[in-house]
Amino acid sequence: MNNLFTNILYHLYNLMIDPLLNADFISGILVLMPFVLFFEIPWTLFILLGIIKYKVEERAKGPRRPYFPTVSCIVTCYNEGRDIEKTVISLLEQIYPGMIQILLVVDGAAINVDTMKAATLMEKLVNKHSNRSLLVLPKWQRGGVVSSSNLGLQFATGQIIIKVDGDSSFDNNMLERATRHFEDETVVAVSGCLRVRNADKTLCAAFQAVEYFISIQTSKTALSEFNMVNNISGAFGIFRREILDLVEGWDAGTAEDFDITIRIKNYFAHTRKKFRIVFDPETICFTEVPESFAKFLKQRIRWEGDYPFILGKHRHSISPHLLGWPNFLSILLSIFTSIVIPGMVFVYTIWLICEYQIDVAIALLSAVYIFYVLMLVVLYLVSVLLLSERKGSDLSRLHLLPLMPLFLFIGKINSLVAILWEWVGKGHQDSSMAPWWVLRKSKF
Amino acid sequence: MKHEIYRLILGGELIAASADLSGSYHSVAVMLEELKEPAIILLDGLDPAEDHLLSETFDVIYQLRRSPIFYAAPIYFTRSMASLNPFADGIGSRKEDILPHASLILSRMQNISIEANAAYHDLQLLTFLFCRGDGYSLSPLAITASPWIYEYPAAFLIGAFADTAIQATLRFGSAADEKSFKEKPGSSAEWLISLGMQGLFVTMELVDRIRLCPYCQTGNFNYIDSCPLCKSIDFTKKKMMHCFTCGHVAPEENFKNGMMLLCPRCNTALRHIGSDYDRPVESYLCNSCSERFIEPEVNADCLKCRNKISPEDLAVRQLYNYGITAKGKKAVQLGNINFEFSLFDDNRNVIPAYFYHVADWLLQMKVRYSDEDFSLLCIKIVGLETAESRLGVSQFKSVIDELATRIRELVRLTDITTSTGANTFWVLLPRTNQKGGELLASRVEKLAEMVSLEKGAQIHIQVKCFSIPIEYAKRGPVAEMLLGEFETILLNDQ
Repeated sequence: MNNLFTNILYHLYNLMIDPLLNADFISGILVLMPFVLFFEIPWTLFILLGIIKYKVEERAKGPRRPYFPTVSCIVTCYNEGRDIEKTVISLLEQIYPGMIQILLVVDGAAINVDTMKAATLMEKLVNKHSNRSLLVLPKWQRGGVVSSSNLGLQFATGQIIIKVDGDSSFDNNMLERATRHFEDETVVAVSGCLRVRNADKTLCAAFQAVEYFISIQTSKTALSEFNMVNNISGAFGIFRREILDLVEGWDAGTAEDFDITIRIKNYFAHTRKKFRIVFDPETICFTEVPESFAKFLKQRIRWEGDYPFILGKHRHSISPHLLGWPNFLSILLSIFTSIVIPGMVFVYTIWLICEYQIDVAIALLSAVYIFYVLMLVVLYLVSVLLLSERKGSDLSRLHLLPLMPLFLFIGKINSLVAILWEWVGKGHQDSSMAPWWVLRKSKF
Repeated sequence: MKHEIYRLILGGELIAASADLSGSYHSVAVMLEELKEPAIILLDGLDPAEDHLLSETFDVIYQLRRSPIFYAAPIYFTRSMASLNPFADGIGSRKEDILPHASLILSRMQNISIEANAAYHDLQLLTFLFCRGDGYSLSPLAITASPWIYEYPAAFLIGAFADTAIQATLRFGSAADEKSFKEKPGSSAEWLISLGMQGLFVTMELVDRIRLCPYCQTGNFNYIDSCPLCKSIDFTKKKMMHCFTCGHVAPEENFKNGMMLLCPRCNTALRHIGSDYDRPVESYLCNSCSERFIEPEVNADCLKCRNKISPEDLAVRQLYNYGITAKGKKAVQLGNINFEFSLFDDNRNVIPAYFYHVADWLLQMKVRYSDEDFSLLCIKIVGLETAESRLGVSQFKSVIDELATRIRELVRLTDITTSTGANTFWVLLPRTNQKGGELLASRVEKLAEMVSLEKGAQIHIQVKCFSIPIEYAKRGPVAEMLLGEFETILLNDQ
């Protein structure tokens, strides 16, 4: 065992210092290289470039203009109970001179008595404030998140519609940040930045906080710079009212967030109008993430499992001709990251173990791993420096970075399993987003 | 006997059938002039939608209840008059609807002297209740214009409270005559409370609780919040903020920096409630004295005397339904309640039933323990009515007060007293034999001479001491019967 470890270190040393000395390594690296060079490095550079572009443009922008459209927040509630108070209070705390309408849509209000009670209590509190109103919409029988959103839309009066989940809360400048983009007529929606509220609770939650920071706050800022935002989060999406009317709200079925993004994109592709979906890294929503690894994996199966289902639904509309090249590329990219990459990594690992001696294989894997960690540290530090509004909190999780690639890899494999399950067994009908009797009726 | 129904016609559409009626009047003044006996009165030609009819109807019923003939008479509306309904005995347009109820009232009137009882408001109100039978009670009605917020409709009319209280609002009524009250209460509710304390009325269900100004006894307030230090009402709500990073607590505006919140002490941007900052308390800043406070002081601002009173200092009054007591009934039958009740200390002046009970009990004690003896003193004061009319109310009152003081000096703490009729009082003297009783009797008798009277007025006090013979003990409760007999003996002595 001790011998094996020494061997690994030896190989690793050789790999780092002088890779050309060892023929085995060279062939190993040849397999490794295209993957790393042709995807990971450009991807990281692309993100860094995007962040810097964002920062430069942000500096060049003048002061905020007094544009404060009326806003309706559709809060979809289920069994959150008194947690919805956090959501409502953080909406009440918004430093925003415009009118804010809060719509609490309580799904299955007959069984979710606590949620209903909390919602009713909040009604009195909110309506005491000028320029703020709260309406509770009880859906006595459970009908799913899509029906909640669409019901809320029927009662919404604002020019801007915000759709959020009942267990999230917001920074007090969220609306001020979100609405400023809509002054630009071409902006149809703003994708908000999700952060983890319970990051300090468990290790698993802390890992997810790092993951959210990299994959949302950092990556989407870059994507937005090149107009390639491919998803408006279901937990936190901000829309121009007319756009939701044009696409007639959300569709039944799962992954309604990705679905509505594609439909918005299709609409504009059809009408050949210029449009933009903006991601704003400072429009911040805090959300609760699973605190145990088991729950985390289960949640990801649910999310990623929906991916092929949506692609299947929209297979005719996914083309550069309809979506335009940036959007088409961004969708390809997301297919690539959620289906191709996990597959490649998995196959590569298996191949490595079969092809090489165990010590060499582990050394190679470690080399790849260290490479990933270094790349991540650079990306993370630059992002925290340029983008993070909570630098202290983000830097406090720096020590997790060496383990992050492993965490992400497990997540990816988990996703792959989910995707395969979706292909084989129609997993999206398992979704807890809506009861089976609703999903069964859905024509998708 | 035949019960006559008279109709009083107001301006609206007539409903009652003429065949049922003994006569119709268009004016309440003419009616009061012509009718000399209580009868059933039917107000016809009503319409609750017409404001002037509402006001006229109230005016008519008010005049009827204020008259010495009709203050207790059965009065009905031919149709509902909305808020005025509690002021009438009922609603009905046909003879068969109202006659069963009205006959009962009229037949009870047969046994009492309606005209004699009209002398005092107290007696009038007692008579009103007496005629409506045992189950009847007076219920409070919310009238916002009343100083007490609540009035008892019948008492409100009979006691002429509409004049003082609501004239301005309701625009009717004649000048109040204050003579009928020793000291006019502020409202019919206050009047009933005092009648209740005299044992003439009994409280039944508790209906509501009100709070009154301790200075002017009115219940119209503006509840106003003000600065606890300088009492100014000019203050602003200030939301306090608490920075989690450095612990700084200050009003929200100190944190406002453009469109964000920035801690003025540690310069941290406060973005998220619950994780960066919270609002520990809402406080207030007085604009006149700059005092900071958490809770404004709430005071009741009396709209009449403009005193600002702390809510806990407001006078609490319970509003009950009131029924008539045996004592009240007796007053109605005897036609007198007078000032007798002030003669004895309230604590030891009991209702006759209780007095009889104690007397019977002492009689049983006397049977069992031979050394136990007790005497009964019967006191009758003669000439009070004439003295009152000659001396005038205020002077008469001081005479009575003097008399009361002297009687109280003679009566021991252990003695109990009661009043069984017009100016007739009983004193129960425990552990006092016939001899001791007679000694006390002679002293009380002399009191009349000591009371100085002018203008030829005279007050006589008749006193006699009685003791119940031990043989009566076997016959059960006898006190009530014997006291009646003793009273006759006293009268015959005269």
